Amino acid sequence: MLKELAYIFMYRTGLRLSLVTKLYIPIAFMMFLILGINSKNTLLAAVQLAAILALELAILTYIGSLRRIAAAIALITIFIGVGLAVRVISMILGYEPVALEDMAVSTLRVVEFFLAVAIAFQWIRVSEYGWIFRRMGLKNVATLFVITLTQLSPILIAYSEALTTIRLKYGGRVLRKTVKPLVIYSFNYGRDVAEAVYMYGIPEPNIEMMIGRNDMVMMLGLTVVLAGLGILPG
Amino acid sequence: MVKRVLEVRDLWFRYPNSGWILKLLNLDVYEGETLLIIGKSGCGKTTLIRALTGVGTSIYGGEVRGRIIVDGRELESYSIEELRRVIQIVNQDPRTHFIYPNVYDDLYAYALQIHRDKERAREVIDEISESLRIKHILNKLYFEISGGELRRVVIAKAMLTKPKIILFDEPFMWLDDVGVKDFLDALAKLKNSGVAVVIFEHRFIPLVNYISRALKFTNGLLKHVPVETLKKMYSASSHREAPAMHTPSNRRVVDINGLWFSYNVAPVLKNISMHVNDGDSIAIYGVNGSGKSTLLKIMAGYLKPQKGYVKRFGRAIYIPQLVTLFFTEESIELELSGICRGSKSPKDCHSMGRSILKNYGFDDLTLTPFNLSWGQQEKLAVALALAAGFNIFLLDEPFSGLTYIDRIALAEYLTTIPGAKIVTISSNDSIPLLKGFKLYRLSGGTLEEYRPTTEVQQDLDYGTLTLIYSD
Repeated sequence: MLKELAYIFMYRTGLRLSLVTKLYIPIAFMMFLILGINSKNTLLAAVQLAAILALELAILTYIGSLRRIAAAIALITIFIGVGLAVRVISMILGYEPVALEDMAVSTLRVVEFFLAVAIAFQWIRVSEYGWIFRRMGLKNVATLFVITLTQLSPILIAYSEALTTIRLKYGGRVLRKTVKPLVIYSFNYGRDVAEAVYMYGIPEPNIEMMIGRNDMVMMLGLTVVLAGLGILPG
Repeated sequence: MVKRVLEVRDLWFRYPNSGWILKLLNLDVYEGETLLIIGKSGCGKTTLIRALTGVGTSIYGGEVRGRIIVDGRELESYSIEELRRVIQIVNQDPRTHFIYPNVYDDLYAYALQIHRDKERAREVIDEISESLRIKHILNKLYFEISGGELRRVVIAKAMLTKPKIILFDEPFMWLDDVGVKDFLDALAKLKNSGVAVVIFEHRFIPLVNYISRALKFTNGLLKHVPVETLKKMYSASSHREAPAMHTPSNRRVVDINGLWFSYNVAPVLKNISMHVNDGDSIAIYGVNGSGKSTLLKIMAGYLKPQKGYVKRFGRAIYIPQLVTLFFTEESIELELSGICRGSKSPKDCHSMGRSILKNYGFDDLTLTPFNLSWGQQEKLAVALALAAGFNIFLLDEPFSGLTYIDRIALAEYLTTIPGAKIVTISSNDSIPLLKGFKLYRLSGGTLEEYRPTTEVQQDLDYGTLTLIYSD
């Protein structure tokens, strides 16, 4: 599950889109999910959410990450599970539970928000996040963020290996026992990264800001659809 | 006359609060040569690299005495930007070199920083990636490519500045035979380009035909070793008596039948059958990604096969590639207490464990496992498991970080241990050291008995090896 979760935060390569587009699209989705959903009319909200879900899945397919994200979406069942548990507990305790359709709409909203975040992580490159932070004047944050995300994969592999080893050694779930070897590993690995950074520096990435034809089509298309969904009769 | 690109005179180096690690060390490196520096684990190879690049003082706050002259100038006179253009390092773990996960992004950003011109940066990457045959992986993420490809990418990164010297710190660490061949191809390219290459590596056999000179580390100093001596490794003129092996019995401890396993769609293991008896010593050879670790984890009971079955008659322990991940306590004594807690009688386990540890050379139980050498850590992990009553020992690539002498010592140690021992290896050069081991090969998901060629099986000359590593 840890591996699947890590995949959500790993971008797909080979896409030639402007950073403007890569920022605009997930932000537009997020803004619409926060402000544009008609929560007073469940049917209308369901139509809006269905349309957004279709768009998000289409974009994930375009990025080429649908299968990976689908595996990770299993995690979202946790949200649904928690929602259902709250409902059951409310009923047992004699409170008025949230209506099932309202719960379905709000859960779908959370799932779609999560997908919008996944889209951002799938196509905004680590170097581009670094560039954004630098432009915001957060140079140290940019460095930390870039190196942490870049080095996430080897660290997660080591963590998974430590869990396997310690479980077999002590014959159970003794998670706390993994802390020491992992701290030592992380320290040593971090020291090696620091040496490499000293020798190679933190070079400024090359960021593509030019808006091309594909960028225009995607941004305009999404704007029109979202505007249309926003003005649907309530 | 060949130009000297690195001159080290009377070099002393120590870390804060430590003794001198380098003592009056002298070294000359000439343009275009390939120099090999060998030495036991912890002899100071990495420290020398840190001293030569200024990392030792800048990051570790170490103290340096003596002179280091790089391409005609004192090391201290260089700014780090200038130094990058003259000297480059390739670390033991090439993954640490990546600032950006996409290979091209990483190379391009660095090339742009050096050449300050987009067109020139693209040209240099194009030229070097063509030469090192990495064009097909430029658009991948660094953790998606093989170990050999990763080394080639990192060599390409080092070459972007067109340096005079490249230092390699144990370039064969974790590399399988395919990766080693990849590295050697890249090395041949470097040789043609005129750059001086210094390789710090104890697994030197694959390198003997590529080097111009060899030096060995002894007590903080460097001594000359004739390349001809290294080439004589396979002459097998002297052998030594192997210690008494633990005799295998007919008692079955692992029974694998028709095993299939996959993580996603494609099966990693196909129809594997294998029987292991008590006392067996088994080596499974396979390149990286062939499924060796997966097979060990299935044998240990951590992963479940999709088809077929694994029966264990006893307790299995898994010792990972990164053996430090096995240890969880500050001292051997506490490790013993911890591992004994799961046994039927912790008190008996503890007292018996103490004598087992003593028998296998661990007298001082106050030592910290994390501070032991790689080979000692492997031995300690096995001894602790033995003390706790485990009888199936699964060791994932235990020889990777060891010198040939330490590999022989570990292999012999394992054959003296009661119980079944199963190790994985990814390079052929470990095979002559595995006396008394049954060999299997895992390839394309299937496991078969492995009969290597006579060339691979050639005995190593133990006398020459001892001489090479002696002080």
